[in-house]
Amino acid sequence: MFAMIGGEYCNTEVPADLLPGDLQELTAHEMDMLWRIFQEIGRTWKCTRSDSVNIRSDWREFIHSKTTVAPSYTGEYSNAVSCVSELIQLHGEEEAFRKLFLDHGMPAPKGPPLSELILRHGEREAFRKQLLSEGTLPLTRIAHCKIYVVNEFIRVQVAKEGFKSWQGSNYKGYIGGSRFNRKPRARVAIGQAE
Amino acid sequence: MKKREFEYVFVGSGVAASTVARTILEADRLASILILDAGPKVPAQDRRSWWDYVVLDRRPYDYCYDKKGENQSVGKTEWSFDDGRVMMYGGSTVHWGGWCLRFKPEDFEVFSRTGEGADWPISYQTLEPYYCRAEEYLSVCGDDSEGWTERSKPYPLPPFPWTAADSEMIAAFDQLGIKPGKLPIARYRKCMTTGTCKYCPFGARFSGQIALEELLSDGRHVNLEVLYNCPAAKINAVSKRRIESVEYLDSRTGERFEAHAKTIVLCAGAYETPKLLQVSQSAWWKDGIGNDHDIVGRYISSHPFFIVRGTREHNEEEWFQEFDFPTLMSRTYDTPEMQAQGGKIFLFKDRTQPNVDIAALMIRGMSREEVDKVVRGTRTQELQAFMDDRGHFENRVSIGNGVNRFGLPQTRIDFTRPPEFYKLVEKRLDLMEKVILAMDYKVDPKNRKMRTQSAHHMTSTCRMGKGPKDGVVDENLRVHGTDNLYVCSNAVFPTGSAVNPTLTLTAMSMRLGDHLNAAGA
Repeated sequence: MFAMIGGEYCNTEVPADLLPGDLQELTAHEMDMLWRIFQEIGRTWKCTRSDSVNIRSDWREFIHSKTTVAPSYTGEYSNAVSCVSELIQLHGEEEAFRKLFLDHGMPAPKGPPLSELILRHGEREAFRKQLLSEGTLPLTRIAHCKIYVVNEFIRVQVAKEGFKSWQGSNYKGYIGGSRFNRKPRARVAIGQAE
Repeated sequence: MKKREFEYVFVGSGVAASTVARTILEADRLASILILDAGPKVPAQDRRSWWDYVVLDRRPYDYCYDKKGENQSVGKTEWSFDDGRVMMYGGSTVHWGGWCLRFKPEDFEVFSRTGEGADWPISYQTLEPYYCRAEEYLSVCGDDSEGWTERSKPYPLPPFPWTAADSEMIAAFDQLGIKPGKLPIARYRKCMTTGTCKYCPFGARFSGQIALEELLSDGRHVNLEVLYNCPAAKINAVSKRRIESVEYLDSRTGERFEAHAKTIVLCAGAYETPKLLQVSQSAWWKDGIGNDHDIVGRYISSHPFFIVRGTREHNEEEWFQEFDFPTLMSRTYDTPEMQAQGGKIFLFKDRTQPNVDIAALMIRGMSREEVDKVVRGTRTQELQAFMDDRGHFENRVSIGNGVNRFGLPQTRIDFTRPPEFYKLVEKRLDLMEKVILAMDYKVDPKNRKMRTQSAHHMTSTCRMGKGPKDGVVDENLRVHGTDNLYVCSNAVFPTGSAVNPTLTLTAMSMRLGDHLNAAGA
């Protein structure tokens, strides 16, 4: 898995659990690269109107909550930056992101999001075995990058803006404006007003 | 065992306990109240928890559900314990959807009208003013022109509109003479429709935890105390009529306490309340408090839950789930006529469909064009329904084997549906299938079914009755034969209805609060 798109660093074997990074802080360079990954999601799927700049504060709050509250994702984010840097070095920028997002060779997960399966309370070992048999347990650095970072960034991107490019007015995780919003907060039936 | 003294002790911290306590504190800010909950405190309105729900579909209270392997279903009909109730500070209000429908007058007269189940010792008219108060308290958004039940006051807030994806089902309803309605939804605080109702980042959806935290943060309530991780173990009586205290364990320290009170109110739901009464045996109550006639825990019932799902090949409008609650419902089949024919049903459109998990497609590596194709592909719509249930003496909740991780005894359910029940199920599914077919959708027989019987909206295990042979509690929710022990829970409903019970329980809680205030005065 992922052997085609990464180099030595990406394909280093690691445990499936969250990579350690507690009590660490992300550097400005790491934040810039993470933001680049997030922006590239919107560009790749053509689901952003302002190159994601309009949802940068949402994304920053997401990163803040993920790195300051346990379990910390700081180790995952640092790892993702290193993986993407290696991919760019190997394939060039455009091809690196195309491979990471569209040509990653990751088997389709069955059921809930993979990281949910790994982190959830109880029945942990049974899920681990299931993922192992499916080939979807993240056992390399690039697999960690995809599952813990890219997949979650995709969900943030779609929830905060991306869904609108599929005609939606609302989506799980979207907060529909101010408390005094007069705009309908979902596509409503003909003749309906809120 | 350490002894503590209060005016009121509540067991449980959900909608019932928080609402009764609030009603008491409104009358007497200095009332001394202890509220006990066996479960932990899970942070509410916590941003990290909310983000994890958005991206991982993981709620911070997932571990507070009954786990597989706990509890025992021993009847001929399988009883599922999955996702039925939440054991934590705030109780099951932590995961409820905020659906707030009133029972109908005939729901209070089931035995008189059908010869089955039981009548309530109070009527709809008795409860109507409390329904109005409860709707104001919970900030229910509803349609004043609905006409499903007689009401003396309008809804406090206007309803949410029908969504575009409701349109096809509304047209099918019209074609079949089914009146479409707007689902009354409680929005305790202004709803910003995040689509994450199961964990609201703003506290827009009422929960017992948020309500109690607000009471605790009011500096005037100096004698209010809430303890979580503290399962109640036994209710102690000092005579047949006089109930003296609640024994509880502080799970974090292992210490045991005895909370003495003038009034004790059990608000621990339809599983734990009867089990606590059953275990509270003494020289005066040999089979448990209120159980001289062997009815504590009996008559357990819960909604039969029906679904009919249909599919069509195109979704050219690109509809997907936008709210996390349904907006379309109907009570056309929730009538005395349907009650007389065996069972009323409350129809509602599945809140999760039509839906496409766009992010999941992207995660799989589909290109924009491939995602577009799926989004515009097969569309699914589902009609769902609850049916009223009447309770049978043989069906019972009792104490199971072992103790769960919160220190509560496990639950044993003996539940059996009679064979004729399934003929009625088919008739009700036929009614629902007509709607889906009228929408020109195809129905796969495997998607036309009754779900496994589960613990959602359990009732009747400590039902109200005029005397101790008919019920565990009287019309004021006091346990028959006692002076100062009350039950406030869905457990006291003599019968359930076709609709969700929480609004009715909130109204009953306000009524009990008034009763206790009057008794105290």
